[in-house]
Amino acid sequence: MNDATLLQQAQSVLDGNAPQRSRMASWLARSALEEAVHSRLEQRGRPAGTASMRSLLSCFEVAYLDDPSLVESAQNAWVGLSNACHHHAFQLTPTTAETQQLIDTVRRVSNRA
Amino acid sequence: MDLLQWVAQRIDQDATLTEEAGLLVLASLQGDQDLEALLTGSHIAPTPVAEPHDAAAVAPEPAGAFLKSLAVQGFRGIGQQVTVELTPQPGLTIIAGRNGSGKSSLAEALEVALTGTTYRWKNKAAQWKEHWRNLHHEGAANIVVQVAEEGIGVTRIGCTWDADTNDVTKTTSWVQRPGAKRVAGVSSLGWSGALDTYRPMMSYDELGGMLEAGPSTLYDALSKALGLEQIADGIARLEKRHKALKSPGDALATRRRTLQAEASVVDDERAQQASDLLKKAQPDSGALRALATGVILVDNGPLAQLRALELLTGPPADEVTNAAHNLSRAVGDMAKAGEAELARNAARLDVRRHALRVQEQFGDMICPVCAGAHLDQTWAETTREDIARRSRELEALEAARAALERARTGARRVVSPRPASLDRDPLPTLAQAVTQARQAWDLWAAAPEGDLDLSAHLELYWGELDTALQSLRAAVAQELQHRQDAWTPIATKVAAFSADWDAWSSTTATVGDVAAATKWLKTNDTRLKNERLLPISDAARKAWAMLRQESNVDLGSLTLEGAATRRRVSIEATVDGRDAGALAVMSQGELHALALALFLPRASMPESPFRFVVLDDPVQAMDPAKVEGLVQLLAELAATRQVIVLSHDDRLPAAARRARVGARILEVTRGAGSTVSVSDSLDPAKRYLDDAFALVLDVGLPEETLRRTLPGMLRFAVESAARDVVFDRRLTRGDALADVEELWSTHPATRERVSLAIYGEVRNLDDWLVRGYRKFALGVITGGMHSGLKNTADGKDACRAVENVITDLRAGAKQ
Repeated sequence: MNDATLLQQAQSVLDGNAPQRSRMASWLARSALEEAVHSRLEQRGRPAGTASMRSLLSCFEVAYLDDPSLVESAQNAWVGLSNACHHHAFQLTPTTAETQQLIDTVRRVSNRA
Repeated sequence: MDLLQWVAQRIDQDATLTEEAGLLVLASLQGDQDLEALLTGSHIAPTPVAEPHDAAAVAPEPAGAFLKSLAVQGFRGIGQQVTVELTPQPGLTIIAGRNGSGKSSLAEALEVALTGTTYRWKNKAAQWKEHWRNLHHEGAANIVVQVAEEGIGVTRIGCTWDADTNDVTKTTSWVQRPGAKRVAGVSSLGWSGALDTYRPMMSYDELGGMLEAGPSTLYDALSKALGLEQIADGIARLEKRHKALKSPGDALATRRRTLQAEASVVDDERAQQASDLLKKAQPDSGALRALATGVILVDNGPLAQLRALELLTGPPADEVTNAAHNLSRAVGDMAKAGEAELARNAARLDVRRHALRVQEQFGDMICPVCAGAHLDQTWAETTREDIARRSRELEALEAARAALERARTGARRVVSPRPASLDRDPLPTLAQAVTQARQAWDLWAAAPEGDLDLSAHLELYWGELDTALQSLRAAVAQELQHRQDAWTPIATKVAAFSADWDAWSSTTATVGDVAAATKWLKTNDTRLKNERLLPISDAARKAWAMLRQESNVDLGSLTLEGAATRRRVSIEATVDGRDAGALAVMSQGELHALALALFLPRASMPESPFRFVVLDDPVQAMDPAKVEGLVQLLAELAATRQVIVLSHDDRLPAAARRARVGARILEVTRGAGSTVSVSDSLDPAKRYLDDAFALVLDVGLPEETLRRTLPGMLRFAVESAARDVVFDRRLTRGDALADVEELWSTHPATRERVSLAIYGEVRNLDDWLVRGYRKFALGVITGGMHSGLKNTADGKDACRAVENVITDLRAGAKQ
């Protein structure tokens, strides 16, 4: 599944009324971000392999040295979505608007492909 | 923009304000001396009026200060000396530590050293203030702060308490600028106002307090930062001037009323007239002066009559006596000559004249009248002589009659009719004297017909008249003197008043200008303030947008409203688009975020001499999402400011680490006996290096990708370390930040940057590269950037080589 499809799914889940829709949508958006980063790295001759997202974001930072805001968006989205997806003792479920914001950020990373 | 220029523009745009009043407004903002100078005309201040095109131009920032280090000993939670080395340059530094690790002690120490107190102490009980001393530390307590000032270099600021004092206020503070003697106190820094105004150090408590302290506190905090106090000061100055200029007028008005009241009760028509003149708010000072000096005489009262009576005399005594004597003598003389005798003599003379003519015509003959004697020559001669003698006698008689006539006329003249001034009583008090005089005069004037009666009349009544007139004159003179006594003081005052009034009147134009200037500044006060507030308001909204993240509270505009005790900051807030009005709708965390949103723009204003902002634990009660937003906000601010955040909450360093904002993280830990240590946990170079090691260790990362990425990551690490070294060294020695940034951006090549870090200038690096790992590392990060890490090179080796190079750069190793 490519990042565009994943984003679409994330959006429809968020627009629905499932009880855990924010967390579910975050999962999907996070996958979309991974796909987007993979494909963007591929475009710059850097296959992702099975590397960790931390490594890939490092690679992304170097590969897209010419577009700092893209790098920043990818990093912010990753941080936000990771927080949303993992259960932290001190954190509450992300709200719809927060998740929406993160989805929009992923869309920016994805759209430039 | 400078407030003065900015106000000048607005004055220019306002056609209703006269040029003089406009100048007064500007002078009032500049200070007392300028205003005084303008008013006294000793010089006309050429006020710098900005070009209209210049309106958007940003004024260059004043020389600023970065924090270089903080050393603390024996203060609060810190026992043995601990030193925090900070990088004196823009960037985000997070000082992380558990509660009780001593980090707040560090923040307080900094605040105490710079300001002499801390927010925490201001409203605390004495007990709190007394136990500031560290229990594990004997001897003196010390705080030394080093700041790198642009254009100056490193300035040391110290603060010491003797071993035996528990009074926190008994401190010896000093400032030492490079190459200068140590100066007692911290005032030589010139920061006392700015520390209050821009508040570069803020704790969680203080942030919360800002919004809770009441609307006027917030108002004052903002208006200080915006330099709006200058406007308030200007208004105060103008009002003071206006009062001073107007007060003679007010005093004169009071004087006028008092004088008018005083004059109105004086029984004197001059006083009455003065009273009438003084009734007017704009009295005719010319008329008053003429009145006081007697230039014009008043003739509508008893005064004129009194003056006439004062001078009223009867005929002089000798004149009267003479007239009486003359008359009686003339009457006597006349009696002597006798009318009847004269007639008989004249008739006889006629007969004899005829007899003579007969004798002359007809010659000698017997007298035809008496028929006795001869009318002969002898007779004729005798008769001629007799006639001549008789004629002379007749003449004498006629002379006597003429003399009598004259004496009579003279006597009549002496008896002059009663003068008009005696017709009526000028004053009731004088009625008796006037009546007596009038009666005496009437008696005097009622002269009898007969000459001798007349003469006797003169003798009889003059004395009475004279006595009556004398007593009248005395009474009138007394009255006049009485009046003069009453009028003179009034006249003196009226004269003085007129002079003062004229002097003051000549200044009324200025008073008008000052009044207009005051009015303008007052009416435009709120508008000026809010226009001035706009950038802060915008920055606060932007900050809020980043901090709010999930909040449904929208921040609208900030406005300063009211004045004096009713001054407040109105914060427009909407919840889900609906007007929420007040801050009451906000949660504690939101309030803190809002306070940060308000005060970060203030602390980072271009006019502030501080290039640092220290926040002590701003993250408490903040949602995780807001922590992310805060890190972004701080990172943005860190582009131009040295942002130091102390936090016990590891969400902040974690977020900073994750968000890759290039933060430096220091960790504060506490051992036994208040031994506090501070260690570098993360800095941007280390972060890049960590990432590079992580890449090498990631077995899932394709070799191709690793080789293409690693040189870039390592280059970031080296350049970041080089940048730190260059900025640190240059800002420490007093270079201006803008110059250092210029230097950095004009040398984009990695070799140049490394050279700047090692040698402070761009030069050949061959000598330095004799060490193999340096050459290898530099080869990787310069050559491998585009072509990728060579197949012959090992990734981990490259990372280690770069790690060593970074150590060398930090140590300044030239060999």
